[in-house]
Amino acid sequence: MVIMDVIDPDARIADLVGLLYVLNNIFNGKTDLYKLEKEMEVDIDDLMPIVYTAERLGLVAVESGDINISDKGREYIKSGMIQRKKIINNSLRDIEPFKTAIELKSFSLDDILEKLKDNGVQTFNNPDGLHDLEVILIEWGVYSRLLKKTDDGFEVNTQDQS
Amino acid sequence: MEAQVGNEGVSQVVLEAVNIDFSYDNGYKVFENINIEADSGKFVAIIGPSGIGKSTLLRILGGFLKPDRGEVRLMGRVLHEPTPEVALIHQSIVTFPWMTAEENVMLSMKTKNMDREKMEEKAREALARVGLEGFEDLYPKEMSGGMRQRVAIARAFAADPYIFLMDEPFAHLDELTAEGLRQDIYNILFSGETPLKSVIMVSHNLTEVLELADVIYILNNIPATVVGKVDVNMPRPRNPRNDDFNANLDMLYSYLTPPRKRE
Amino acid sequence: MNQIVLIILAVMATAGRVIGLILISILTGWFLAYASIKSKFFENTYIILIEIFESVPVITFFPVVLIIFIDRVGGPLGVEMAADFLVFTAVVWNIWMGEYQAFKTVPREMVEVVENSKYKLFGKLRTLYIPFSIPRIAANLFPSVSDGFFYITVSEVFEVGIHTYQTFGIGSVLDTFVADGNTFLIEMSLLILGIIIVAIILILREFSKYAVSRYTLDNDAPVLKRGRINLRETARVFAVISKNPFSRLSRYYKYRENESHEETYEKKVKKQKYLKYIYAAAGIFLLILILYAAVSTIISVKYNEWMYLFSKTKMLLTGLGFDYLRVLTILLVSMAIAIFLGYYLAVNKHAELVGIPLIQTLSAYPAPIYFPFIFIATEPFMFSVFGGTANELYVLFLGFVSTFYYVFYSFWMGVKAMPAEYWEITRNLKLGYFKKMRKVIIPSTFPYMISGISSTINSAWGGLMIGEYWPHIYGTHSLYVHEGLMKTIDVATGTGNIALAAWGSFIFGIIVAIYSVVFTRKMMDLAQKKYVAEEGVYAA
Repeated sequence: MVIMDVIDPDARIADLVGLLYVLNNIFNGKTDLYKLEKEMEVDIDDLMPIVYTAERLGLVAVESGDINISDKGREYIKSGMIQRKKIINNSLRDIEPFKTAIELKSFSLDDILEKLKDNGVQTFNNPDGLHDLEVILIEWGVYSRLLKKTDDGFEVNTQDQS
Repeated sequence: MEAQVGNEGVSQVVLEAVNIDFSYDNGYKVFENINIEADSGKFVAIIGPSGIGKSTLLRILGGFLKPDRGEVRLMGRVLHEPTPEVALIHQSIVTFPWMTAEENVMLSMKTKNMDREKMEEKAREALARVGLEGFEDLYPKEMSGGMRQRVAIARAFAADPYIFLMDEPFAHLDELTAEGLRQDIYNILFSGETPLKSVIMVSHNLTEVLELADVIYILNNIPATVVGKVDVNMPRPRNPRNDDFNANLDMLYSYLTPPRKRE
Repeated sequence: MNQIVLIILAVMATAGRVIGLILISILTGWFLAYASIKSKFFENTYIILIEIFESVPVITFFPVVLIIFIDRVGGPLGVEMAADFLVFTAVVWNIWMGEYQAFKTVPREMVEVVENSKYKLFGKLRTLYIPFSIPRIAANLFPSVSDGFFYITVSEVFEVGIHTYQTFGIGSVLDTFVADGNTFLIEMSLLILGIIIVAIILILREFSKYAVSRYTLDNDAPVLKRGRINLRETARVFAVISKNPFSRLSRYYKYRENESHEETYEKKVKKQKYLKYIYAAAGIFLLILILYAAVSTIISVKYNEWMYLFSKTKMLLTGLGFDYLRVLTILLVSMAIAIFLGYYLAVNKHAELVGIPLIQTLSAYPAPIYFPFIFIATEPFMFSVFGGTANELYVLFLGFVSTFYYVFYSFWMGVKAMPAEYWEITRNLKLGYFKKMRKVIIPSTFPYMISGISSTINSAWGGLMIGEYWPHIYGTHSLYVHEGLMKTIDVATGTGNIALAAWGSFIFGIIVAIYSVVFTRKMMDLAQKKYVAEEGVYAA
């Protein structure tokens, strides 16, 4: 089975800002994951989804227990809200479920769930999958203006691309 | 990142509590002679041991509770009842599940006799300010906790308040989420694009307070009084791991000896 | 064909009456509930009145209704108002109580948000209080609808002396068909009524699902993590819970709860001593109401008529004793069945899927309508086996079918509201069936059962009122018991002896009011002190 780049269902965008701030301001951009865990007083369940997601977005690099902020990550922190959204918007395009979303252009939740299965993405193939998928599409897609919520699903935002 | 907002940099008192006494109906005296001042451009924090009445004080500052003695003044005039000009932001995230994000935000504008279109436009603006454009028609149940707190903040913004009263606004969030939201909110609050001039926050998290506040009031004793006022002059962003930060933390703890019954 | 149209119209009229009166209850309840959160004095008076009226059987109001509406208003309007009033008293208490509890439990923070924006009365109601009360209304609608249908059919036709009063509806139309002995039209009436009731139940279920998905707060089902609500998880947990809306709805079912949601900054209110005076005043008010009916009849009555009434009093009290025994029997049988069947359904998903809608429909289908047909079918057999006791068994059976649902519904709601942790503990400890029942399930459903009992007892009295004396239940056959207060009141009303009927109701009213204050309230206090299961888990 191919391991796809997928946004973790438990990754929240507010956590991303928190992670990058702490990494940059407290640890000067580089630390061990265990130290990060101690500093944030979080469990591994809470920490890893956002760490993996940040890595897939190219904002940090994770290597044998170390975590490094990337240049894109530094840029993200320095930017204002609009620029941050642009960075996420561009970084999501090669990551599932957004790769499939762009392929479909306009879709309902059931459509994209079906298509993701066809594309070999198993992350949402469980009883809570539909709901997880909706949250991810809203949390990351709508937030970064990549997607737009419509009455019966989502639509890829065309006017707002950078 | 420190922005001075207000009248041409001249500091101005936004909200002040003057000689406040307050007792519960059963006669228990909570506050005696409390004086607190929030100047424009300042982030004010109030700390104190648990059970000291921090939330009660915030309700007095907002006009939700009437003090037995003394008064609260907003921009120089006495505050008698709650007003949208002083916006209370809760610890638990308060969104109304039967309203969309936009309707939630419009809730704070209903009394102003604007036409519907103008209200919607203003609500969208407020949502955009907290980073939620595109979320207008979503219901709170479709959002995560962090996003809902943003909706609550957009709602407070939409009423064009002069000051925010925040009651441990991050207490219910995970530390990661809270950290992200703290930084974002600080930037939004003091962006200078709104009439907002000042913030008073109540918190039990001293690290959080030192990260954010310009001025810290410390409450202690029974009944509670202000036992200390600290001006925090560290540059931002503030790092909880550096020595200056820890020295300040140490100083705050020195005020928080067990409360004593006053003679 | 015309007759079928007539039946459809009659069923619509009856259903319209029930639904219309429920809507009126909902509408008025909002304002009364708002008044009671604004004034402590109004609140105490209002709640005590609801509790007393709720535990007094609807049927007690009948003589009052007859006198006020038939005598004073008169004409078709008077008859219609009499019918409406009876149904109103059947549906209203559940709904008013539910709305009051909703308004009382609005989180302080939400109130502060609307206060912050300076909303006036209608703004507050529209944006906050009314939407917040929707789940509680939904949870209390099922029993109200059942109760409403139960009484509508008996209140559409009633006899006083030689006069028969009737107002248009399926009850009065069916009465005509029965008198004509037209079997086909009787069957059609029952069928069409059944279809409409099923439709209403289905709509109610959809409404409940909608109410849960749209109007409930996530933090009603807190997800704790290190002592904090974990908001990251709430969205997901909500999605799981919403698959079974009824277990969520059960949290909104009426039972008295502690006002533990008050925040620390709330000023402490001293324990009010004037409460018991209000209780006394409310009780006296109720008695005066009944007395008014009695006195207004009796006042014209001569001295020896009074002597006659006093001489009858001992017989009335004996009858009441018999009736209490009947009510107790019905209650115990209902509880036993409700507990075992309710438990079975609650743990068996497939059975529940079929069982619950079936029971809901049956309960809304008024017992007085189908009972005569059961009587016809079983009469020869029953009397040949049981002889004279058969009458008694029929009355108990009618009481049972009119009442069973309330016990069952409240028990089922209680089981549904039971924290999942309790289920896990019973499995973990491998508790046996009876131990599990005795130690965990019955105690944690206790507050729900208690709140169901007042409705239950009301309906049991209603069943007795109808069953103890039922002349010409079909053809020349009549159903009657030997002794019973309800029978005496029935017979007196039927023969036009309004004085005796009013006197009987008066005595009944006094006893029931005393019973409610002394017994029901005690049980409710006990239930809320000791047995609120949710707190056992979440208060930590």
